[in-house]
Amino acid sequence: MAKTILLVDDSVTMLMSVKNNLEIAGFKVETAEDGVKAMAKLSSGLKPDLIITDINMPNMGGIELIKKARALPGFRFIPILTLTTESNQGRRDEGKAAGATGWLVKPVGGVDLIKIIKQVLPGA
Amino acid sequence: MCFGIGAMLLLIISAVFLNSYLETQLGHLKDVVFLGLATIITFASQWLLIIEIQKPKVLSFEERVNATNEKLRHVLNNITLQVESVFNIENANLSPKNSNDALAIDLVKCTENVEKRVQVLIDTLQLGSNDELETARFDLLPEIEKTANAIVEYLNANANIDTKLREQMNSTQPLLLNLQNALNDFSGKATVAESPLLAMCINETSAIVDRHVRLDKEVIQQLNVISHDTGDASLQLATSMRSLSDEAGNLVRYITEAVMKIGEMDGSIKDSVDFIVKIGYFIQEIPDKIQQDIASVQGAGSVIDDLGYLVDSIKEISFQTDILAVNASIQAAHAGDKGLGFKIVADEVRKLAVNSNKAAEMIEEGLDAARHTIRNGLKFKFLDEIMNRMNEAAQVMDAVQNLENAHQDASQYYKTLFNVINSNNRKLAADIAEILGSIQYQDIVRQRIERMQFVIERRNDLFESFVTELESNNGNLTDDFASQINVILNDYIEDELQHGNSLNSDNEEDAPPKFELF
Amino acid sequence: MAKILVIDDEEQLRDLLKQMLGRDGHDVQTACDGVEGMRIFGQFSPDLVITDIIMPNKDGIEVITELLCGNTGTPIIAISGGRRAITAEFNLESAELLGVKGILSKPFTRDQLREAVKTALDS
Repeated sequence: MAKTILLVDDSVTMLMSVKNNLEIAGFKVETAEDGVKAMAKLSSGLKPDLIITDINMPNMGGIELIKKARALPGFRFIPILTLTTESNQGRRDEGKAAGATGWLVKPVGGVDLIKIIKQVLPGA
Repeated sequence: MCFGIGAMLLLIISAVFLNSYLETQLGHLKDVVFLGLATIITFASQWLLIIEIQKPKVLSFEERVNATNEKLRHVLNNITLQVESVFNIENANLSPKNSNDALAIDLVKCTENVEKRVQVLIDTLQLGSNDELETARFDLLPEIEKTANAIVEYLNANANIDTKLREQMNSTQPLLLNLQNALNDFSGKATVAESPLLAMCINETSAIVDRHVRLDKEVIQQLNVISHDTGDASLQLATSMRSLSDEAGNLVRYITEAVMKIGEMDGSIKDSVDFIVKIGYFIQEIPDKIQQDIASVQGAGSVIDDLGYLVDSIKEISFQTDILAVNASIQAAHAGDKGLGFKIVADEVRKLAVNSNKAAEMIEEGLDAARHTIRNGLKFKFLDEIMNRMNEAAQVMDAVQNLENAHQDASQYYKTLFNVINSNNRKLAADIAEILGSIQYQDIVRQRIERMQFVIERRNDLFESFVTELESNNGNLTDDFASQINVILNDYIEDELQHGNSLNSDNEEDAPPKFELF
Repeated sequence: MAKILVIDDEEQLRDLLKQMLGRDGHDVQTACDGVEGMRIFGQFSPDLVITDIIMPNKDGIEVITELLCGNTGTPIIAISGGRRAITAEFNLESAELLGVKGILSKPFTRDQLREAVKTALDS
């Protein structure tokens, strides 16, 4: 059974390139263009095995999305990775406090990304 | 764009003149120089971002002096023209106050004085005497100041024709820019030791210029980083895609070759099979024929001899099929789990190739038997034995059928393989195109450029507010202008560092990791 | 109901499939090999193609490749029983790699056929 990953980024280029990468690796991928759309999907029953989110997005950014997703029932232990250009410690701390599982700075190579995902999704 | 620049320049120039009126000190020359430089550098630097950086021309001192002279002459002519035209506008369109007229006349006089002094300056510069240069400079400065004061006075008195004047100045502002340039050039050449105020002004201006240049360098360096990063990524991508494509191409070439070989074998196998079948029937009929016509049996002997060659050809075909199957099996092994199905088939084909070889051997044996019997058995001592051997020869038919089947299977197998791999290769090509088109770096580059645009906008805002402050006529110059620019610069560098992009490779080791699990 | 083209060199199976699918209300045409299949495809414009793999003249793999390259969008179900060394598994795996919407290994049941037809038509 393929694991499902929710991918959140406001850049279509990012969504397309990462989605392809993950799908080739055998994952099922759902996408959302910002935090609001991601929350809409999560609230309407989508239960991904992993969430990968950008930080700077319109409407609702990544930090807020992580906080809101963590508050949903059954989302306490689902791994959430960030994939962002932001690399400074302050933002990382914010992400960690919000409940992120890990912090990834763009760009992450296709093979590396799969390795990292397998690290946070044992058995994937 | 041009209009925007013009309007802004106009604001700056107006403001300078306004301010000069309030404080009639030499120090205010610095504002002229300062603003002139700042303005020029602002816009020049923006263009530098857009076009490539051009190295400044290195001119000899003599050339610079000559160029400066030329500019000064040109500029002063134009100042006179401009002031006159302002005067004309006033006369033509408005009813000026008397005082305005007087001021305007003063202005013209001042300007004329400036022109004379500058002429002296130019002459002395050409003579190259330092003393005269110094004298000329000290004579020139108060005249310029007076001119500035007069213009400001005039502007104050003619607030109602401000708009008209602005329009007018708008058309002459490139010339004023030239004046400011010329002043700058001149300042650079003059000995500053004896003029502390001028020295201060030059120092401060150059400090600001320096920061501008640094800011621009940082921005330009970012552009370089961008092109370097995207260039590297694209190259890497192109290389990987290329090798992927090559690999796929090799596989297709291999399969194409195999299919071709099978096709070539097709004809010879069919011919052999047809002939052997015919011979088989012939052999089956031999016992009867032997009894009927010994002579015809003797004839058959030579035909059977010919068969020997055919058997060799079957053996050769079996050998080739075997090699192909072994190769296919190796290729399938490379394909991993996906190739498992292929491997099984390849092994099957191989077995059949071996069987074909056995069949050929059986044929050979049978033929030998027939040959032997015909050549030596004409005595018909043991007819039963002959019949047995003939039956054995007839079994050749089955062996031939097996050979044909094996060949058919191999042919089918390679055709399928060829079609599947070819089709996948097409899909792969499409994927490669898509990957090349959509790379993560595009997003990173986009964000970097956005940050650059933001910093330039911030800087422009700063200039605008600066001008506004000057315009408000409270004499309170933004003394922290340089530090504000510095803040923008530092913010920008810090912002870039926070986005995982260290400007200096030395800092790379200190930078936070690209991937971190909390 | 759907227009279905059945391509198989085995007359018995061809007729059986026509009967089974016809009873489910489908409009069925048949062809005895890839060459006839492609000709009928052009005239019939079916919603679904069911093709055998090993056939004379033009085999099922060629039919699938041609249809998929032509971007007709018509879903395809591949059926195969294999022949001697060429197994059904190999044929169907190949067809799947090419991108067919369904595979059926001969022999198959009527329910398996129905399910495959439904899945392919819904795709």
